[in-house]
Amino acid sequence: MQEPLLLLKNIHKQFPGVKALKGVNFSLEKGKIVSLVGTNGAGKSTLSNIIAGIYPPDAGEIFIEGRNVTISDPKIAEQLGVGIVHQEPTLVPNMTVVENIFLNKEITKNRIVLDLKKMKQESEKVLEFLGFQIDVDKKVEALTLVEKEIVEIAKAMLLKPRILILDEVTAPLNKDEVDHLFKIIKDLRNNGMGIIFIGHKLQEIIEISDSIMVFRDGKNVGELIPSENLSEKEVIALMLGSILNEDLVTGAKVPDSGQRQEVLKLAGLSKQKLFEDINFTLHKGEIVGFAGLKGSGITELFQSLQGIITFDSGEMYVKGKRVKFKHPKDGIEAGIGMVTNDRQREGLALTLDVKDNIAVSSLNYLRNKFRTLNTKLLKDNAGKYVQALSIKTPSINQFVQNLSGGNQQKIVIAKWLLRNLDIILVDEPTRGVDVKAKNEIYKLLINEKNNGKSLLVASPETRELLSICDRILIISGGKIISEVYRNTKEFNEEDILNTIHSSQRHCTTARAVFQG
Amino acid sequence: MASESSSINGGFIVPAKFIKNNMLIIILLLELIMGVILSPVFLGNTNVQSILINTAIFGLLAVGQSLVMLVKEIDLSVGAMMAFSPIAAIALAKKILSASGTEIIMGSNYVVDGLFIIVVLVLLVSALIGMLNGIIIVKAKVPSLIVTLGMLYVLSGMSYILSGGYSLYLTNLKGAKSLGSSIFAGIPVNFILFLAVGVLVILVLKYTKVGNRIYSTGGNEKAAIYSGINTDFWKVMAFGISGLSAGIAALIYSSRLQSVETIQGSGYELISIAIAVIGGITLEGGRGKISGAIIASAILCIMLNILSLVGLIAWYKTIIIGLIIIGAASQHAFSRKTS
Repeated sequence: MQEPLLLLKNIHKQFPGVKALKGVNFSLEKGKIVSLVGTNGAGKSTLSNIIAGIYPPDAGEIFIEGRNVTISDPKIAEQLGVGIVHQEPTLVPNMTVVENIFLNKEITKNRIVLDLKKMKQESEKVLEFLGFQIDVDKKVEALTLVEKEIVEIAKAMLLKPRILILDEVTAPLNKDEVDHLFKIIKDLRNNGMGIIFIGHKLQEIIEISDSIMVFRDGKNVGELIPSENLSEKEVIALMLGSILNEDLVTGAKVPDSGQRQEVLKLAGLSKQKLFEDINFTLHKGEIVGFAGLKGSGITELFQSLQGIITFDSGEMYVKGKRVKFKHPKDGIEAGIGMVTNDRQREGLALTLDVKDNIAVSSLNYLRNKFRTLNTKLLKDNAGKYVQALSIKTPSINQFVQNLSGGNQQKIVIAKWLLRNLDIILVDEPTRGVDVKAKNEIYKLLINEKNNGKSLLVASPETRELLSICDRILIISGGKIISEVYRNTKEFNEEDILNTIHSSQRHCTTARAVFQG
Repeated sequence: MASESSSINGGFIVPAKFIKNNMLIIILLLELIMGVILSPVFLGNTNVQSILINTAIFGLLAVGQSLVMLVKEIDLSVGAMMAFSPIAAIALAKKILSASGTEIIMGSNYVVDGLFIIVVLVLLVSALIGMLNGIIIVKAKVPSLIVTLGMLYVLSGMSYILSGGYSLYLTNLKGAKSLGSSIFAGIPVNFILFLAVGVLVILVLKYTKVGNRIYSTGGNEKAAIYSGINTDFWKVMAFGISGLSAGIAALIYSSRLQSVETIQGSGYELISIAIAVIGGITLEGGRGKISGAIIASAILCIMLNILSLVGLIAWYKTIIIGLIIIGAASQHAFSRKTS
């Protein structure tokens, strides 16, 4: 029997605080397209980065055509015939297309002088093969998102790899461009290349793959062979696994539809290229969830509600008063606080202690009669919230960088609770938080709702929204495409994911990805 | 697609674009015209040579500084290096040569022999200490601002200790005079040396792999690492070259003044950053051209010269330099936004 092109045995990888891969086995045959699917953080990109030599596995073996190899850096991966398009942009903005394509693979005359003419020809050849005409002398920063993605692919294709990894390449492309790219990928496969395809759009995955490898929680949990009978539903079911049947924390009580006080109303809110025509109303004592893929514009919508960015057009009312914030300070003064999705960079001062982090937004209310800081009041309040939120810390004087993710997240929430804001926006409430802390945070949010606060919660984990929200808005390409209410038939994970994924299939704009 | 927007009103935009792309050259020419109008001695032989020598010294520092800034770092030690490298080289040469019975220092502070070995040692010491800066920065992961600030103090202190705080005179050193004041076709040889170094750096960056390494290291370090580039190595190289160019600048400076002072070059690190910024090199890394820094060094030196010739007192000069730095940086940022 022929050796597989690529064989991974029992690969483990741990990052500080996260076990990214827990014993993955994987094989790729010549002339096959294998897709990796799974929710965010399931381990797909970690695995591809290991194959590409970005970082080594902690344990496990890698074989290429039967030969046991150590891929200690990207150059070695390249020599072994691995080409990769990374999920994140890897182009240098101030360099030209040809310089980027040939970065660290330059062609030279007599080993010294760059052979620019030849490199241009080769670049044009690769781009032409991909079916795109891009001026190779143009600087990458002047390209469109689509062109940049094509240059990334050209860069990976340059050395005619035997194994090609495509991590989320279709996100900025429209339907025609995707079809076109798929034709090329299939040609490459037919010529014997082994291709690893990573993506979120399940329809595409089913269309292109010879086999689908499903990842969940750092392990590959199953393989599906696409056929006419394979539905997106089945893939999603395997992606989620037993989680579907798992007991969810539900404390959510739908508020009486009668006496509901409007606290936030949006009418036609738009921001170019980010979100469009957002209409909805948030009531007192309500938790509204936002479901959507990364890059769907939810984070930016939240940011504009707090004043971190400013929306272009539309109207926003807080308790009936029309507002447009230019600075987060405006949002906070109007009673809106945001728990951002990156607590380490945006939510906490890591080098300060617990009490200062909790008090940082409320210092004006913690003053004594001389108008200076009332440290006793500050300590009392911090202590109160540490206790109320059961934040595990040796003392309120502990530096927050020494606390676990879950406790850090609680501190960010406590910051807004102390300030006593009416509306709290929570972007990814439990990112990088363990299961126990997750449940505590859910209870905390539900408790605040019962105290009459209003919350908007965004999360890539639909079941988290299902467990705490009164209703869920589904966002795709910056628009609200659907709304589901608790206690209705559609209020379940499968239906919501299906709505998201089927909208992606029709999404013909480059709107889905803005991290580039 | 993007070319459509620039072709609208083509007839109007072309001159504006021409001015934008050649801003530095235009400023240089305007300065020359201003100099001729404002002062009768501006084009005099002595004055021209003094401008050229100053340009060579500041220009060398700026070229080295620019390389460091292109890899998104900064080098505050180049001024102190201008004193330390010759002082250390002379001290080392004294040790080495006295072993073979040659005393190179007469009186207490007259250097009389060993020019060749001193020159070699200056280049060696400056390059090695520059690389040491780089190694500490990439290995200990301490910001370059801090490491080179520390190095500035260490080098100044060592310069005082090695020289005892006294100047070393080169007036009796064979060959030193011709090293400092040789002229070829009316142009100081040291200026030609600077141009040669500058052109070499430009050519290497443009026509060899080195340019891509440097620009990608500063422009998107992650992309460079993902392409298998050893960005740490290129940072160390950039600091090495920055140190080396400070060493060459020190040679030009000292051979011209015929002495080595413990305070020579102090404050020049900031001037070198100023020139790089005026020349279009940005602190964000990976952006700007060495040719810009070379022209900017001439712009600054001519400006200072004209201001002295018209008799402006020193403090006005520093105000004007400050305004030029801020103006130039704003202009570069603006032209990048609109391009």
